[in-house]
Amino acid sequence: MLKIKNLHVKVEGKDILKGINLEVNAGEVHAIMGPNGSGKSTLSYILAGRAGYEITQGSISFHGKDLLEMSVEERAWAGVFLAFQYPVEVPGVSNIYMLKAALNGVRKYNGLDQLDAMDFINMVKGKMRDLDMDEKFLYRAVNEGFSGGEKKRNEILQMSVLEPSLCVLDETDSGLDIDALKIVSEGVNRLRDPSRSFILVTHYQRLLDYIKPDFVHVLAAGEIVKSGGPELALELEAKGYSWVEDSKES
Amino acid sequence: MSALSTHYLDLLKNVSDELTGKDFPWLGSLRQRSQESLLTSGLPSLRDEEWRYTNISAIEKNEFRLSPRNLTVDQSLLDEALLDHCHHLVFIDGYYRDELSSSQSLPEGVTVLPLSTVEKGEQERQFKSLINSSFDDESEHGFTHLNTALFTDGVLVCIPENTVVEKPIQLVYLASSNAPLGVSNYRNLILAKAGSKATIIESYYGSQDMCYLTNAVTEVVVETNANLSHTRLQVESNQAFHMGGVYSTLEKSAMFSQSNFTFGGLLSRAEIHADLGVESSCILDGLFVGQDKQHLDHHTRLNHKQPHAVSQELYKGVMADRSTGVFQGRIVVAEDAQKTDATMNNRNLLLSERANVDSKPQLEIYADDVKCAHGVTIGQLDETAIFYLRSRGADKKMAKNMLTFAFANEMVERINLEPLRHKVMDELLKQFPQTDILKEWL
Amino acid sequence: MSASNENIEKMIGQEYKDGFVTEIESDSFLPGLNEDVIRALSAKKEEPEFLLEWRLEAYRHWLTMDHPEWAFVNFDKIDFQEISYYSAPKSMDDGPKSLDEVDPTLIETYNKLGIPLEEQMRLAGVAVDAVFDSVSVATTFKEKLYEAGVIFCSFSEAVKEHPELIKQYLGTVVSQYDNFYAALNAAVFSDGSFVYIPKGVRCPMELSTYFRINAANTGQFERTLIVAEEGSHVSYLEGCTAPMRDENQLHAAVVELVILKDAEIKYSTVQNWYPGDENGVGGIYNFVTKRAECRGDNAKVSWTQVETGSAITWKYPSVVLKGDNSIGEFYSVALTNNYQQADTGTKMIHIGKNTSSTIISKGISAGHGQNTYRGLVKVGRHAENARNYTQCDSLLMGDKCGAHTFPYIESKQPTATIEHEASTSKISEDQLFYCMQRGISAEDAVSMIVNGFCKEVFKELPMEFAVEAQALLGISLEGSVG
Repeated sequence: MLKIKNLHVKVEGKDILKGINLEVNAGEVHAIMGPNGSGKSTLSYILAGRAGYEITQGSISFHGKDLLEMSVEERAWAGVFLAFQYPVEVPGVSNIYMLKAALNGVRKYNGLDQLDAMDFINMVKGKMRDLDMDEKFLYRAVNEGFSGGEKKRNEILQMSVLEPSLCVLDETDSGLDIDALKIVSEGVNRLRDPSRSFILVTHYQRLLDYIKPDFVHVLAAGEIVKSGGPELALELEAKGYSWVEDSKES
Repeated sequence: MSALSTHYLDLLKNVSDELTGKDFPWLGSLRQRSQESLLTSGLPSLRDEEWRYTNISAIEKNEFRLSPRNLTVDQSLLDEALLDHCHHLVFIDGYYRDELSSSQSLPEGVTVLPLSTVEKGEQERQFKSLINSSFDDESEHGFTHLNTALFTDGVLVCIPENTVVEKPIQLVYLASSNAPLGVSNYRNLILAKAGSKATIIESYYGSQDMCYLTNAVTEVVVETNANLSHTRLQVESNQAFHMGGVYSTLEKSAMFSQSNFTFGGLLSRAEIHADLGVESSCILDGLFVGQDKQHLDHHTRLNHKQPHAVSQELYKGVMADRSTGVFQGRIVVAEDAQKTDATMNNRNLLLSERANVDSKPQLEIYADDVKCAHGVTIGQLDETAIFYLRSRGADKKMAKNMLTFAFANEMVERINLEPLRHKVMDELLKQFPQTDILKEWL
Repeated sequence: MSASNENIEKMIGQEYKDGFVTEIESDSFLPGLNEDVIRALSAKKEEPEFLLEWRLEAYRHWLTMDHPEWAFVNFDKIDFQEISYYSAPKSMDDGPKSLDEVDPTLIETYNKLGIPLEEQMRLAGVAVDAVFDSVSVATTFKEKLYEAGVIFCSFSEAVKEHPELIKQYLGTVVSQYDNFYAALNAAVFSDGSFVYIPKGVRCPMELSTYFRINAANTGQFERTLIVAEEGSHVSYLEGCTAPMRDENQLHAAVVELVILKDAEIKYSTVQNWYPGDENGVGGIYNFVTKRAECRGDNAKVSWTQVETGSAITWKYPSVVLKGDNSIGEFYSVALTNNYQQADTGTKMIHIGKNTSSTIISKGISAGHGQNTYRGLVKVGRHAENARNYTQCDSLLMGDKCGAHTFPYIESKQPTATIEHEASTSKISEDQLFYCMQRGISAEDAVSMIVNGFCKEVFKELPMEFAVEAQALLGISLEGSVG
């Protein structure tokens, strides 16, 4: 469903991504690993459509459409979801209000009716239970005063409500203890589906113990230097990133 | 603005006659211009927005005069004022007193000179470039004009690049008991060059029940990456008038922390202004404690003209008896000053029925990507805390004293320099009856 | 400029939807102001002698006063001789006895404005005292209210039918000498509302008033007086709208509220005067003196306002807390966009014992707007146990606007507790991106965040006003992003 072809991206004049090629089919889980500064988060932001990045070359197609032509919210309606590494606080706006507005946006785009209020609340509460989240969070302002773990769970909650076809998780495991990691991973795993794909951006292998990827790619200095199956992640864990960089040079 | 009384006109004339021929020519012209400005503006009045809560007519009514030089010193007062382990420059009644000062062991290249001894050449150049350098359109008023026209002495401090002055430099300004109704105008010019570090303390003392006027203006320039700490400790006579100001310019990445401790004076006003350069940081602390009929006024202004600067301000006031506290904390953020981070807090306690506080926290913001907040509280002691102390054996009065002391002490605890901290603590303790018992509890 | 700044930069208000003029014959005075004009005005309204004298005294005092100087507000000098001080639609000469007798063109005007009197009569049961160009048009539900003992009529009518009440209360909260515009208003006020709630009565419906300025160069000088007797209760709504004009129009109103023992007045305003076009041309000058006096113990007043219009606003609804245990509240959302300027705030004067005041002020600045909050919390010597809590928040949208906060806090009472907090923020790029990634368009995101910002104030408004206010805010900020 996602085809990234020869993507070159500049940020503030500097080349960050230097020719990324990646194909993600429906139902697949891809992990993108790499050292800090390799461009991992940049790739996530590019997919979501954040401003401030210059795409100098290349293309991205999503479900056959030109993703780069679509605005941020159009991509969201079309089914792209970015779970932020640092979820943003939005004071004054309650979680339930934002979820409802977001979901209705998606439904409208896809020609569906708006959800009935009662159905909506029940649906959301159900998902919150699965994520072991207190109902009170629904009425609090988005991410305001949430702990790191709570913020990440909130991202997964949103994901499960919006049911996107492409989920990009940007360092979701950072800042999570083992229990929180388990809950978040379970939430993600519950959403695995033949029609849904995941891109897990992560620095550490740990997350991949819980969310087993189909493919692992290593991103270093703006390029995908190695791709493989899940065993690649274990090799990286054992040998470290420099192994890949060295083997790239050789 | 009120027109000057004849007494002040005479004073201006007498002093400028005295100073003629003793100044550098450019200084003479500068003084002349200031005189003219003073004559035009007069001294501030209640109609001026910045002075609406502070009535200085008592100053105008008194016929202050220049004191004679070299009067005998109150040794006990001087001993009280001097801090251990510092370089000292001592000024009495407006004049430098070499025999009482000690600043021999300063590091190489560091200039700490009384203005009256500044020589032609490099020193004169520094003097000229620093004076009037830190005023902007809104800084000046009758008292700063008066100061420029009439200052008899003060200090020129230049810390060269990348030099660290370990020992603090203490400037002591005493009003001797032999010079009633004296007026002392001091001008202090401080330059901390790039990468330098120093601590400067200005202490103002006078004998109890003496009436006099101290008018001190300090101008500070902190260059790139320099770190300057400046403290004013004001323990003037309870019948004296004190007008003071610190006007500072912070260049790129400069660090400046300024603290004000005000205990004395019948009528006292301190103005602290800072212009913040890119990525500079400024900390302003203050504590004022008023008794009897004291009127203690603090006006601060932080100008964020450049982006990425950080400022933090905390002023605490404790007003007892029939005293009045006035506080203004104004923060101005210019259009280009994005990513400014400014917080200002003023916390006040009123201890008696006839005490007053007027507080004006002000925010003027022209940029949008900024974090600015301010808070003011005026209140009383926490009843639960009083109860808690009483349940541990303190009587009601003692409990209140302790809590009030603790409130004020927060500002004292922030002083890094030990001798200064002890000195300020002592002054603070003096403000509370049952001092001995308080010390026990500490 | 960052990308989000570009987004926010496109913040231009929607076409002022109420921009139109009603073509009706006006019986207007020629421009100019002197004692004769005042005498003529008073005569036209058939006022008693005492009132004419009151006006003249005010006028003579006004001549001795200087126009106030406000630091952050700039505008061309107003020539008071170029304003006409009386303008009435001709058909009003004999006064309608019921809605049926009202000029149909006028009714059409109200329909356009969304306040069809017929509908209101049927549905909400809200009495409407529609003021049109200095003369009251119709007073609905007069009879119903009269049954409850409530008097709700135009000021002119009150002068004729309840002169003793007018004489007793007029100018006792805002005297003719209070300030420049209050003096002018006292001299030339045209009309307004009068409300009187007798002892123990809870007014059965919310009272509302609509104002409108029509003819060019007609300054609008409204005067409103509300008296709540012991134990009474009333909720009053004021909503304003005005047509598009090229020359600036002056609006200098005075509102006096008297609250006696155990009584309560809730005064809500949604202000939508023409703000000037995107270049700052035209627009209403809104200079208003509003003051409430809590005279009796346990009296309570709350001022709630949403201000999005006017080219220039100068307004400090105030409360004098004389009675022990009296309460004053101020909730405000003020928006300045394009070249609007606002210098507004409140004054809470604590005099009695155990008084308390709450101030929640939310300012939103966009475009080149300048929004200044000026507040005074004054605790007198004998105001034991006074309590004040103030929160001023500013939301800046774009980097060409300004938000300023100048509170004055004066306390002479040691047992008083005063807390003041202010903060400034902007809608961050990250917040916008986050919402957009969740499929919420930038415009909706801005609207959501702005409404979240104003929530605390909106919830104090009576229901229908709250809805109108939210819509108004949305419209004023529309076209901002995308």
